[in-house]
Amino acid sequence: MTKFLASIVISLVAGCLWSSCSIIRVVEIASPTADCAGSGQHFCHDTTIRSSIWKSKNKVNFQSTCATGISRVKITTKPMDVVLGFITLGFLVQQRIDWDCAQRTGSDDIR
Amino acid sequence: MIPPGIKPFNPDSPWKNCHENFSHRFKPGASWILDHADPALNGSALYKRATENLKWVIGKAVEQSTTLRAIGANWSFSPVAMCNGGMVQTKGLDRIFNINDTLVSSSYDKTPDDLLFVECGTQIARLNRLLEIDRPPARCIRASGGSNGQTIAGCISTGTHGAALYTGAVHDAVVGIHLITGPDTHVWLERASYPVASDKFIDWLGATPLRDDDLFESALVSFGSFGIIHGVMIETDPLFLLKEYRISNAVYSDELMDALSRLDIAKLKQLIPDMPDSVPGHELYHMEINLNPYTIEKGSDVGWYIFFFYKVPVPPGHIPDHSGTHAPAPSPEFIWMMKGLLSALGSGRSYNHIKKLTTKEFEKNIRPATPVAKSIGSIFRDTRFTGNIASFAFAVSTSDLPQTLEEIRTEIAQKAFAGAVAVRFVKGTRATLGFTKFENTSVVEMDGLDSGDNHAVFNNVINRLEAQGIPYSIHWGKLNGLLDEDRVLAIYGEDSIRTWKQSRAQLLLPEVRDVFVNEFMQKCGLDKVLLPF
Repeated sequence: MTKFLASIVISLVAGCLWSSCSIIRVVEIASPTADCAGSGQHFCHDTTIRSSIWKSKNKVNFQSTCATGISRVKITTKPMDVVLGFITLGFLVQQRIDWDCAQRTGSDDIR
Repeated sequence: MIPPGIKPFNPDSPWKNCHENFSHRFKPGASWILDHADPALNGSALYKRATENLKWVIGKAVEQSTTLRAIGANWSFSPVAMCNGGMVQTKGLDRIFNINDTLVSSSYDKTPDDLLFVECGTQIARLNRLLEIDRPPARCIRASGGSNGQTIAGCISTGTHGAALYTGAVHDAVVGIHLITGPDTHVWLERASYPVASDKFIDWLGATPLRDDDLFESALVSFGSFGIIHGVMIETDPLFLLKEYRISNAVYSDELMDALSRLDIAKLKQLIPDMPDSVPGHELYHMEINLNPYTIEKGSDVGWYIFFFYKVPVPPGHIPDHSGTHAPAPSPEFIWMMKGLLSALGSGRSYNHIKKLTTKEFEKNIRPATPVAKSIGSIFRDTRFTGNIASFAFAVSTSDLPQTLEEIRTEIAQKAFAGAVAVRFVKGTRATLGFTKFENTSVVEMDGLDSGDNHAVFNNVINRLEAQGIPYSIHWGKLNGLLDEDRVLAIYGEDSIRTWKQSRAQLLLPEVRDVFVNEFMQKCGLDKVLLPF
């Protein structure tokens, strides 16, 4: 019984790590445009995501906030975020995500 | 009730420009952000909605007795576009409209394909992509600044210039302006001497047509003082490429400077054997010089690089490549450390250190010529945001360039300048307050660390020009703290200043004029009202 429970827990942990934990992809595109200006070098939109490696669904979909797609993304993990994750045994993992929505492409006809 | 397409905006306080060389505080609760987020509306309807929304935010500012400024890419190095009231973020207003023959005046002597109507918040990068890649047949803008992040309205309003020797600055391609002038008024401005738009186009805008050269030239370069530019009609060219050549063995001599000052290309060709011929299909288009003020000396080719760009046809099947990485430049960290180091060394002891470091950086960063011909959109691309950078530019008549460079050299021989000097040659503008005002304009750019010592050098160079009686002007969108009422009057002359002020008074009602005043205008005396006769 103990072996069975242990294998379940290990499978859950492995599954979580494999499918939903902290996979970071930064997409760089040429000539980034944006739908608004941030102060200084700040991006226009930002959010802090808080999640847990023990949670099965921790994906954040912020593409839906951009009508014209995302032009650039910055993901920041501060040292304290790492410490926090360690202290809480992964129950609280936080990162800051900054992004700009792209300007549109194409042109219109006057009607 | 706030109309759809407008959201209240709370700018960071302090707010910084994107190059982070100054900060500013806006009045809380007075800023707005405009967008086109409504999938149910087509492009035309969204543009018209944005016109109404711009009128609404002006009305709100009048009601609240607060000042207002439209902010595009937040690109300027100076607070020329800032005010103590609120900002309207217009970068979301980024639609571009095709022009067909029904929208063009019968008096227009070119074709509808030469025209494009561009909304204020459109970034140059988006415009380049549309023209060069996305929309056949491929076309291009005629001139560009060194980078592509500016919005079209910000670009023209501050006089972004490039180095198109025979074409002019970015704003010289603008042939019509849709200007929001009040809570209930908006106008279509074009030159009486160069009509462009048909009645159908102006009816579509719903604007009042004003065909007047003085009004148009005044509003063209007005850094947000004439209301809010909602859209501009620009002329574009069929796509061409620029083939770049770097000349590193030209000897800095009186003869060379004389030829440059007269733009005597035949003489330049004699003096610079490596200079390619300008012939049909390979015509000189863009010219600039990069120089290290510490190492140039008469009779030597050290520290002196001339870049020529020739206009060449597009090979069949060529698709411009707008991808790639940033151009090499000192990292922000390096700049920060260098600034700190130089400050710690102190001004007296650091001259040789600055000279050594500047020379090393100059030689390291001077770029080789691009081996293949490229489009404007491929060449003038992203810049890295680098804080602690001071970018100062002034213009002189090209005939005064030899003496101007000697004045800079003399100044820097006495006082260290941590930066490099570049000269860009631009055809003069007709815009009333366009800083590229000389028939043949040389824009002298001094980019370096944002330190007190460098600012002192900028100041001293301008004092030297004034002492020598060399007419000059200062870039509106770069560091312009040296401008004041007396200098602006001396630079542009009484007639131009009067025309500009009268045009502003003619276009804006008194309560709206008060909305579009900022500290910079007050400092330059441009807020004072001169009513039209």
